[in-house]
Amino acid sequence: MSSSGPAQIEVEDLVIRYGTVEAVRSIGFSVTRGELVTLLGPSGCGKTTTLRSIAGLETPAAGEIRIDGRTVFSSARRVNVPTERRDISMVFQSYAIWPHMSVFDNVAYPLRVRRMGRRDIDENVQRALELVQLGDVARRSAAKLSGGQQQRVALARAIVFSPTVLLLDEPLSNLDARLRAEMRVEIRDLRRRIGITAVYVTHDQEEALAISDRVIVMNGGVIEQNGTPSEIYNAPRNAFVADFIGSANLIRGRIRRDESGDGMIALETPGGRLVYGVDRNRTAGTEGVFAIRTAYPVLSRARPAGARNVWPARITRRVFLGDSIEYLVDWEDAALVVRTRPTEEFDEGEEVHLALEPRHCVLIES
Amino acid sequence: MQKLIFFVVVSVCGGFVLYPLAFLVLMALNTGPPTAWPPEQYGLANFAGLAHSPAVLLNTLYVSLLSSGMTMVFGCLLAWILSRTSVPGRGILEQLMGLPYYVTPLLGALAWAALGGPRSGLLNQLWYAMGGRAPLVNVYSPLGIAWVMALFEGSVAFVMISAAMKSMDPALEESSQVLGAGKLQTAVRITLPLMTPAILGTAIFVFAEMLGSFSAAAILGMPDRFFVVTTAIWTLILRFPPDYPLAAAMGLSLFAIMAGLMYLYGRIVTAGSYATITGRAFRPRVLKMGWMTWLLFAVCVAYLVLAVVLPMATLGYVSLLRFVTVIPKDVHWTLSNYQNAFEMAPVRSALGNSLLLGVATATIGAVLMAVLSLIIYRTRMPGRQLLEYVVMFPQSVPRMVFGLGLLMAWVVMPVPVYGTLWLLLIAYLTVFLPLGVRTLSGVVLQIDRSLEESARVCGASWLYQVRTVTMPLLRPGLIAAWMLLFIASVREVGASVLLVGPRAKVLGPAILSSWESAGTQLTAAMALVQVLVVFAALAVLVATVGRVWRAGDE
Repeated sequence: MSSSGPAQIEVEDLVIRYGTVEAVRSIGFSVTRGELVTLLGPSGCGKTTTLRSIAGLETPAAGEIRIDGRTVFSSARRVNVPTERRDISMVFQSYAIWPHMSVFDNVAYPLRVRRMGRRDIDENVQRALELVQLGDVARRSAAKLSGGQQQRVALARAIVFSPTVLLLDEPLSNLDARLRAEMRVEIRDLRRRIGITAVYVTHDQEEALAISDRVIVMNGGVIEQNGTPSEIYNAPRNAFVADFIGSANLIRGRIRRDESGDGMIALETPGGRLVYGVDRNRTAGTEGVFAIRTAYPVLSRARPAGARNVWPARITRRVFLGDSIEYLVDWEDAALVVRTRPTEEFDEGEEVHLALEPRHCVLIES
Repeated sequence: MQKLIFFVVVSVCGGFVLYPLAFLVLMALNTGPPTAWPPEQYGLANFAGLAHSPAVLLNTLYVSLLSSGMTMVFGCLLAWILSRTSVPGRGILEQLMGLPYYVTPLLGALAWAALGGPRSGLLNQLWYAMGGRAPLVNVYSPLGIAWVMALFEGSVAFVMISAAMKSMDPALEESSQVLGAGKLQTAVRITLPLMTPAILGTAIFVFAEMLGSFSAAAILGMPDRFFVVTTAIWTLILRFPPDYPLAAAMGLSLFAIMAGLMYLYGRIVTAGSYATITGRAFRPRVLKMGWMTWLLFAVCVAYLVLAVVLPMATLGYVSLLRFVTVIPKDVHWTLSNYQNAFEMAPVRSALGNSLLLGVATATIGAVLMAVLSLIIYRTRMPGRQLLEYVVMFPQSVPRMVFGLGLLMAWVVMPVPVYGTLWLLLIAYLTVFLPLGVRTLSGVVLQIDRSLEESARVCGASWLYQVRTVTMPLLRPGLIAAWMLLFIASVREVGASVLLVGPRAKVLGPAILSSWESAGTQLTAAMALVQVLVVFAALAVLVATVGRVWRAGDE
């Protein structure tokens, strides 16, 4: 990729080791200008480590990192630009608000480091604080703020000097659920308004889907999938992504070439049932696995019209969750999990029909 | 810049710690003429010489064991009372339990000598006045030394054991009771095993400190020619001609034992961490003791009276007398002892030097040790673990032995440092490394790393970050370290006694020599002046930081 291209952050063959443990195993991705990319994965998957090496807070064992076309790290060329000269910005999980300074001094810090004039500092700090709706607490001691307010101060400090790249390390994980949902939307809007390129780390899949232009799912130091939120949700590449993002049922079977047609493929289960689905350009051998999101199967008492992907099934368990009802459905030998709206009520033991739309049965790599 | 600062600090520390020890080793192996340098002949004869006079070693072990035993009784009892029972005024008592540590063994020994000396001791005078014939108590004995040391170390043991008791989750005991075990069974099967590492670790730590202690043995042992290793080394150096090689061999042997014990201590503390060091402070279950409460309260008060109030009162009383007496009609009050203390040239210069050294040690030390803590706990610098080891090393070297190494190292140097305050400054900065670094690193570790990282992300250089973020956040730690280093310097005896010269006197050794040559009254006045300086610094510390800090070692 050339430096004049739209990619603003490029990571190539990144390897990070702690002693003998490989935390990140040769990953690569790029982030285009103005894009928000989320690194998503369970704890210990290497996402925070990757983010910190972009910031220069960790030293990778191998690989190359470029920001704005400038190489900030390269093991081959022995380049390692210190954090303060990478011209990036970051929001920490703990907010890292300095308790010995006022809100104003916290936000003014990056400007003072850059030797900006006093009047410009006042102006920029005020603008940044107003952007995060904290215009009135500038003179307060930072130690006396609530968690949500500290979060906003951290954001204001991160954007006050108009950086081109913003890194966010689980910025919402210390907030309670309601505030988290609120801040999620706010961060997304704020970022669009100032048009900053951002890399966002989280372990919360819902947060990742809500906030990102693109999601990179990581596990065990490698990238499992890199795609838009809807690609990640609707077409998980493998069992890990299918399971980690939302929840999914997996159906295994033998691929029946002879039954394919109209862009679909068919899978024959061990019990002899034919399931139609889409292959999403993925290749499989003779055996294949379909992933089906638990929200997609439809349960009904009357048999729905259409011949494909409709089977009789029996409700074995029912769990009321408020926003939805989760049914465990006996389907062939397997048990499928089905989530329905809370109004679709069935009894345990009831015989029903289960329908799967073929486009929701997605072939995954096995 | 960062690398340059690190390099300078590391090499200075390494040199300070290791250079004297190298001399000690060379000198211990010197079998040629004792005062020749460099040694003309090497061998192990000095160590063989130790074996011919086992009395000193046995004395040391005897006093240390006796005193450790008493210390552990004090420490365990007080820790249990104050953290597990409903004794009134627990909060205040707990704070006060830190005080005996600041009443030095030197002062304690002087006070108990004035109280329990066989002929003129106040208690014995009272006893004779009541018709007693043989002395009631005699503190000029191994038991006396052990008693004075135990009163002092009891405070240290208390702090260590009660910290362990507080970090034990009460749910561990509660679940035992819920599962049907009685109070006694719970105590035997759960509480005791969980506390064992802490208690054992404390006992070893205290024993090791006892082996290297000097002042109490000098004041209470030498009049009856009862010598321990430290006092024996002292006399070997002071006599003419001094026997450096034998003293070095003795010192090295003591160091070897103490280092071994400190290693063992470290192992026990780490191995026992499953129970004690969870990093959380719990609110322990408090036992309601009924009428026993007041008995337990009395035990705490009695300890404080014996360790703090009585020694201070005794010295205060004696320092205001013309003659030491308890007979009311013979009492002649006077302030002349204080007048002497402030007017006699040697005493005055010792007081001035001690204050000067205290300020210098504290100021240089606080900065140096802050940088060391940052290097050890905040960088990825290769070799930082080795540095931590070097920095903590002086705590396993008895002060006296360290002073001996420094003495020999600088006597032979062409640089005129020996016999000046510079040598004392070097000695203090080195032996207090563990104290200062431990105090500061406790605070460094509490500073969330991301507070510093975010400064870097904002574009600050390392120096700018240290100046604007790290140092301000470290301020309470710096104040505490400054005060603790000042206090430790002003009261220092063990390393100083070998390093003072005619033009470089300091308070601790001056008090000791006044005890040997001048009267009890003048010595008492000097000791009280010293302890008042210490308490003044302590008061400033408590006022600014808000609590009595646990000081590390003697």
